[in-house]
Amino acid sequence: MSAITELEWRVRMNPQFKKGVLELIVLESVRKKDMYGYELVEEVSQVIDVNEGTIYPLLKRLTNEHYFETYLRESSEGPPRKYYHLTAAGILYRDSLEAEWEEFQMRVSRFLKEGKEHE
Amino acid sequence: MNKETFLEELRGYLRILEDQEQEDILEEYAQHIDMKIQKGLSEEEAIRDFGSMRELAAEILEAYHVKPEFDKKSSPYQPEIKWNKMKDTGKQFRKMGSFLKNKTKACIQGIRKCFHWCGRKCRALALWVWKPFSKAGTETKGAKTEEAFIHMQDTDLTGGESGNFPVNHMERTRQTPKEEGSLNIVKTVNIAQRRKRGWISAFLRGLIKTWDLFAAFCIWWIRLFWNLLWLFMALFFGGMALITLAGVGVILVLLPQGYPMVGMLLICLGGMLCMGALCCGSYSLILRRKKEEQETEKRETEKQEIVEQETEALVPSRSDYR
Repeated sequence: MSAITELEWRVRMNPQFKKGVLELIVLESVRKKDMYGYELVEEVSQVIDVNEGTIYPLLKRLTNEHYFETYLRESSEGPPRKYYHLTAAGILYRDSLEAEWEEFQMRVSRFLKEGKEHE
Repeated sequence: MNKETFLEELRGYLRILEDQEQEDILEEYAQHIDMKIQKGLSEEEAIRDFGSMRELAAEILEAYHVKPEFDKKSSPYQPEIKWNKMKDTGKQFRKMGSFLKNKTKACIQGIRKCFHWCGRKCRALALWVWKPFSKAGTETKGAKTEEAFIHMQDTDLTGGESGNFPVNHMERTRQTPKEEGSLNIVKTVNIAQRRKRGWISAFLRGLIKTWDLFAAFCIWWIRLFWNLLWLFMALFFGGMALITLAGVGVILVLLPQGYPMVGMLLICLGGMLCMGALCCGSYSLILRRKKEEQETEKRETEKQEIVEQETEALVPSRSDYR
């Protein structure tokens, strides 16, 4: 892993993995701070390399499922921006996703470790 | 691809969504592109980062729990292809239409010629039947020529050639300017004969003149009746065609709703075509008459001019015969 740079790793990551954790990353980003679309895209891009277009549908879906609330705020440059805010339901959902992720990651790494020990 | 075309194309894929939702998501993309441009990227680059439009649209629709096959239905390319196909078929139809038009024109020409031929033969027959009576009625030579003149006028009015009358020969010579010499001879002979005419011929002349007027009157009425008949028929058939067209429209609306109207649709379509054809046919019959009238009028005026010139020179009393 050390041979691969941070950027390369972001790009190379299996798209199926990326898709699975994208939701969690978005939820976590919005939990830290209310964000507007573009800001969020940039934030997520720092963690995993993802098609910019795919984040908006995700935001839309999470909003429709009431995990996000949106509000408009004036900006100094250009039109008012739509900010996303995590609701109480969103926080619960994020926590459950995080727990799932921990469990998933733990099981997979344990399995891989067992495989290495058998060799 | 610039921002506007990108958004419009994307909107094409998202037509399945509510207008409000479309606006919402497109607004986000528009703002995203604006931000990228502010960061110093070009419009093209900003849009290229979104990747494939189809995949993007599929992902958006997936977020709304829309079945993916709706994506294909709502893609904006499908209708364009259909339009092209329709244009092609339209061209084919137009070709076929012009072909049919030419053929029907030829057919109408043929029928017209046939009618003309029939008319000529009928007239010849009628004149042949009339000939012995005219001979019996007219004793003197002068009257005979008068008769011939009247008949000539009659044939001019109906616009055709008569049978084997002496007049016919004269008419022909008048129509062909090459034989002007012979025409003059015939003229002078006629005029010499006219000078000999007696009171019988005068009486007959009056009789024939009134008969002529009566015939012209009859012909005028028959023609009016004919034209009105075909005008009425054309209007009637046209109306019927419109009614059946309306019927077809109604059935086309009812058919998708499950009514068993296929038979009725076929009947209406057939009726429409039939009525349309009958309407056109009726109308063309009226036109035919009008054309003939114009031709005969033209010919008549030509004849009258010739006769006038001659009468001025030779016999002043000739003007009675026109």
